[in-house]
Amino acid sequence: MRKVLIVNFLILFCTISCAAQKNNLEGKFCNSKYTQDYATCFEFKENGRFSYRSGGDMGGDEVGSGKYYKKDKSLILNYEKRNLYNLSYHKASQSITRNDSITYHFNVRNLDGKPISNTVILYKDFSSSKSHWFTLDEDAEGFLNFDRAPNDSIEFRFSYIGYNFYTIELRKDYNYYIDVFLTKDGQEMPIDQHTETLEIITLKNNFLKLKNKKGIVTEWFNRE
Amino acid sequence: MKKTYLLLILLISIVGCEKEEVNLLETKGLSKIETVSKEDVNNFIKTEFNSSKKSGLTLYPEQIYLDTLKNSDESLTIIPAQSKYSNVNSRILLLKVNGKIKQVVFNMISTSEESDEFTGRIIVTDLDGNFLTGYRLVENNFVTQYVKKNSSNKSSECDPNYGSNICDNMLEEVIITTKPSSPVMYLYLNIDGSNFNSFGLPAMTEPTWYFDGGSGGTVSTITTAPIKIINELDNICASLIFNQMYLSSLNTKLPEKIRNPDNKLEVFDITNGILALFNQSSLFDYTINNRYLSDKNASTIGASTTLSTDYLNKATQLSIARTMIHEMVHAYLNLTTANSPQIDNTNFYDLMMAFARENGFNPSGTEYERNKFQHEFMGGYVKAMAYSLFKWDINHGTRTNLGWDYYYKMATAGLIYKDNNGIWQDTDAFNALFDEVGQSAAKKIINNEANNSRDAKGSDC
Repeated sequence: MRKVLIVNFLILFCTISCAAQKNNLEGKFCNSKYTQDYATCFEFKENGRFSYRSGGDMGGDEVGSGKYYKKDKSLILNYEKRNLYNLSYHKASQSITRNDSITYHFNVRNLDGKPISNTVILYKDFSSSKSHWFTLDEDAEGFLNFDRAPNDSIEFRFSYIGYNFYTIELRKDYNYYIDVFLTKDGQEMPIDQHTETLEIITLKNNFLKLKNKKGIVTEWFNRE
Repeated sequence: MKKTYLLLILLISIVGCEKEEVNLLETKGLSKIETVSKEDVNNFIKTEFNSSKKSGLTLYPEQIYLDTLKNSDESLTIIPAQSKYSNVNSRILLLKVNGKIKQVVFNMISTSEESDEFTGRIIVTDLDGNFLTGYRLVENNFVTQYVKKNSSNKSSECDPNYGSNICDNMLEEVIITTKPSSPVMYLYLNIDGSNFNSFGLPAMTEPTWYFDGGSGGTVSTITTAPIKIINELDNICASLIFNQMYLSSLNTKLPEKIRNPDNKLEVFDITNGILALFNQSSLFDYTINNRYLSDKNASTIGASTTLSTDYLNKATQLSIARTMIHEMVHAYLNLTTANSPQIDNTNFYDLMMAFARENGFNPSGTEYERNKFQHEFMGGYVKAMAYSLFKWDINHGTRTNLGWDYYYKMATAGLIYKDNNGIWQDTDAFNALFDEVGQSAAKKIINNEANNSRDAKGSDC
């Protein structure tokens, strides 16, 4: 009876131990054993799909997903196409002026077209190399006047907390009408469609060691 | 500018389970209100005076007066009173509701005489001194509400600042973050600048009382103080930690200037300064919440911090506090980089830019470029972050001093960046703070607290 109990115990122990220390890829592997202010993780699923995410505590996580398979000592990751990340942009139009001064008219919105009230413009006149601040009104509109100087240019940086910064440079020759559209901060950055082959150096006891084409070795810990 | 604040409304709901007969404001259905007649006042003084004596109040019947209830033809009867505490300005308020006289004791305790605007506590009790409701005000803004704890051990020594037999350990403070919505607005108080500047009977000036509703139950729209710090944490423990930090920031003036991160920095409580900044800014709010985050413990986008729910469920209070501090610094640096003219700190912006130029960082680049810049720049503020953590811990966390070295090492958490190969690395700032042994020790402490391991010193959350 006692022998039976011991055998049962050993079988149970082995089952638990083997389950806890699996030597396959399925599950989540991260580049740290512990929760940190950053994380880079692969999640490998039974159906042959994987997802990847890497980000710090200021957002902008890199994300990708696709199919994976093991071949000998290689791990092949086929990243699939994802929706692209929309960048900030601007539309500008201009008119000739016969005056000695020119005017820049500004209008700043998010990508949905909603005004970003009180947007700040930091502008630097290259002739003087000095920077100045200017704040748009609640409708996110405003204008600035300068002496006309066709050989000079001026740099404008648009900013509002929670949005990406956006910089443009314009000559001081015409009147300009500038509509700026800003992207929100912290959005996911998609990894483009491509295939990546990694060498598996170690895969055991919930631990994975990989080497990429550049010879860079990375360590991954099962976090489940 | 006049600011109108809700005051006694919540009394209604809070007191629902208390002694019904002492409610000044019964509420639902907005019962009929009437001025208390002279005869009723006299009867009240005769019959209730003895009970009021129990709470140590001395009444001044000869100074009774009526105060206008705006939006109503009726008046509130005010009986000036003096408690045994000299710093407390008390009065009894009487009003007839549905034919019954309702009364409360209204205590005002100033904690600052520096400004014309009132900073201190308003505590409302029944005649026996039992707590009904209370508020903390900072410069006329209602910022927190006192809530009676479900259970507390009444200590032998009460904090006299409450002006009644209420002890510190009997109350909790809850941040007033959202406009009251469903409760019927009934009677509220207008605080106008210098009204509360002087105290002492009988020369005190009076607030203005507003009645809002009439018979029928109108819901009024009341302007509350601007919402500047928004706590949306649904993890109770984490929410409390944040509230503790927030409350300690309420009387904080912003540091006159934040010095260049050159290790000559004077230690100051950086969390207080940052929260005070957001609280005082009319344009910018700071928000904190929690939700599932893939695998990292926190994220700050703009001035909005998200903490990982999984992390909150396992980390110690000390770890959570240090993460909050770290993320608040990100919010502050984000704000300075994008909107410094509007918070009047272009000088600090110039210092940031000089640091970036000298070290080849791009503070307005991609998230990763900004991440690297901010974590390098933060290296100059480790002392300030450690001090914030230390101050919070001795007041609210372990309530013991774990040693400066422990807080200092905790404050270095998260000083990392992603290199061109996509590998997370320690910043130069982190490496410069310790030798290799120190770096290893710091990481061990940080991980112990983040995972609440056996060697963690912080309290469970």
